[in-house]
Amino acid sequence: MMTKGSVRMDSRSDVQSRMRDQLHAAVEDEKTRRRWARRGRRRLLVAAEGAVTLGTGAALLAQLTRPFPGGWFVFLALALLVAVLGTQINIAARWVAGYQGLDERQRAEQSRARIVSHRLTTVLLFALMVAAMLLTATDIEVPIAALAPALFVFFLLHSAFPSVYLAWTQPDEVPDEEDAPLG
Amino acid sequence: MAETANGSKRSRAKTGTSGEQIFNRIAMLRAERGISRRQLAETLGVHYQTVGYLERGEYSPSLHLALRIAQYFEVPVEVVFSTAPFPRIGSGENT
Repeated sequence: MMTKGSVRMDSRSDVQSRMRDQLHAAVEDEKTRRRWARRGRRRLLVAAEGAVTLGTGAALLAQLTRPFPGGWFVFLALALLVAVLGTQINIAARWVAGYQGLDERQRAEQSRARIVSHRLTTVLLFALMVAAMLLTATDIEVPIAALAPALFVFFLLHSAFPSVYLAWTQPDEVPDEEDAPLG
Repeated sequence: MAETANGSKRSRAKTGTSGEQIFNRIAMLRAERGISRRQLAETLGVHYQTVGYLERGEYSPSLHLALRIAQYFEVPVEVVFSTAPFPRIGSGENT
C-alpha cells in the first residue's frame, strides 16, 4: 500500500487482488451455487438463452428488412436479456473471465468444452460455406440484410457455447455433508 | 457398477484418456477421520465438488494429486487408489 500525502493509495496489485476475491465470492456465493446446482435448472436456463438469442436475431432481421416503430428498442431489450441470461450461465458453469483457483478437474472440463465448441463452430462454418456456394450457383436471392442477424446469432453461439456446454453437461452439484440439502 | 469397500455403488469413471477405471477409498478414509469434503478440498487445494467427483469415480486424479491425497491420509497411494475393486471389509481377502 502506498501513501501520497495523507491519503493511502492501494497498489494496482492490491486492487486486482480485491477484485479477484470479490469475483470469486460472487461465483461461489452459497445462494448462487444452490440456484444453479441442479442440472435440470441449468438446462432450462440454456434453453431460455437459446430461445432469446434466436428471438434477438429475428428482431434484428425484422428491423433491418421491415423497420417498425420501436424495433430497435425491442432488439436492444432482447440483446440485454441475452447478456443477462448469458452471465448467469457463465456463473453457473464457473466460466468467468479472471476467475482464478480452478483446480485440475475444472481446467480439464473447460479445456474439453473449448474443444467441443471449436468442433461445433467448425462444422457450422463448413455448413454455411456449402450453403453459400449452393445459393450462389442457383438463382435464389438472399437479402444482404439477413447476413447481419445470421452473423450475430453465430457470434453469440460461438462465444457462449463453452459455458453452455458445461452448464448443460455437468451433473448436479453434490452438497457437502455440512451443507443443507439442495432445494 | 463396481462396489467400493464400504459397499456403496460407484459409477464408471468418465475421465482418463484411455478409459481406465480407477477405484478409490477416499470416502472411507475421510469418514474414518471425520472430515468433510470441504475440509479435505481446502487442504488439497481443490474445489470441494472435485472431491465428490473423485469419490464417485467420475474423475481420475493426476499423479500429483493422487500422491498428495495419499500423503494427507498418511497411507501408501495404493491403499487409496486401485485399478481393481477393493474387497469388502471382512471378506477375508487381503486389502
